[in-house]
Amino acid sequence: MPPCACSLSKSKNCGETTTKVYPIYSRALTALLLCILPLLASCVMLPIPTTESKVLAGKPVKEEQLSFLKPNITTKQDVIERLGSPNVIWEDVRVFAYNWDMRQGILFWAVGAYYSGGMGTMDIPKHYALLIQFDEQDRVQRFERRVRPSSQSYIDFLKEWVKTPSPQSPQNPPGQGE
Amino acid sequence: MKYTGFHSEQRYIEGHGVWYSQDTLPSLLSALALMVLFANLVGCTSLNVLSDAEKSAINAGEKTVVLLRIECTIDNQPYEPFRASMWTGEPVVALGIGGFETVGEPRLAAHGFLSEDSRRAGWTYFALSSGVYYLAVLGPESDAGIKNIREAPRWRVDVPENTRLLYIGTLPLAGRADGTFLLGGKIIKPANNEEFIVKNEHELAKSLLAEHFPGGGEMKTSKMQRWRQGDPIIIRTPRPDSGK
Repeated sequence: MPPCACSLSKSKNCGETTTKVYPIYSRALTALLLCILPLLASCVMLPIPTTESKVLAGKPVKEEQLSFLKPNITTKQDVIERLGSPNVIWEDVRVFAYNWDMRQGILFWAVGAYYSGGMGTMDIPKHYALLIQFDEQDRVQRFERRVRPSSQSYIDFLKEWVKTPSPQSPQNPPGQGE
Repeated sequence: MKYTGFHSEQRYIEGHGVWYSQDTLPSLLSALALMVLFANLVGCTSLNVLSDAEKSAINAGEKTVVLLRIECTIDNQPYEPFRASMWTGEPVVALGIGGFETVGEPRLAAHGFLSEDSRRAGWTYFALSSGVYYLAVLGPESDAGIKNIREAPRWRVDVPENTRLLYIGTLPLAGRADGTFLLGGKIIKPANNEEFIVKNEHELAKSLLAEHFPGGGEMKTSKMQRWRQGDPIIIRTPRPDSGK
């Protein structure tokens, strides 16, 4: 009898060890497994990191493009001429926001359930923003290039930046973030 | 013991693992039928009107009645853009509003009607605190209620401070009938609405608001402005008392 279709057990009887062979109902087991398998549903998600070379949304503002921004000197008009219209204007706190998304990875996903399934890929974005705050004379007060965590809402991100001034030091003057 | 016959004393409800006696099931069905009837009656006869909280907020100057009209035509014939309730059919026009918290991104929003007649004519309102909003209008389309409002055309709405009554314009929307549903009713598709021209029906709006808000003061008119992809989204911090 092939080993896969039977099980072995040992029992002691009057000091003697005997070996008995019990057949397992392999057909029944197979049938049971076949019945259970279609009920199983599963999902696989595999994030694959990539270089940030693909723009998913918006117009990226590179670090070197910010060299013209000088606190207390650069005007709002200068900013619009160099960078174009912002995506968001927070009027009463005089903030401009330029947003763009870069691809930081690809998410491979697969879902299987019952007799059907599906699979695909989607881009994982990294949300960037250039935030510029002006003073009452419409001159740049501070600026920062920041990454917004995906878990944070956009308005909370803006509120947080407005409430928390950039650290000021000779090595890292306002607006030299990241 | 498991009975499945219709005349048996007990019945086994598949998937629920519960036995119901023959007496219980008709009672449940009757209750369900009554609930559906009640919901239908309520749905058919109720308009989304101003709540007491909204009224007091308007009277206190914390909120503004922002009135607009959707002038809907299907095959060049006037057509009701809004249904009285979800029980009487899908609306062919859906409205969304985006403000400070959503940074202008519209979300499907509840809007009210001043009267049954004004609803039929396409008048509707929002109760909003002062600020900048983005109104999204989807339709006329049979499935406007289930489409993504974020992809709808948008207009910028400025709600000034110290204004109780504001009219933001009349938006003509054209559609066409494209066949009928299996159980009747037109399948409505939008006609070419490339050029949206906001009309000014100041006098009509003024008389409608004066009728419903006799002590509301003077109505202001500030036509909504078309917003297109690429235009900046403007936001303004809400007043601290605007959430009341």
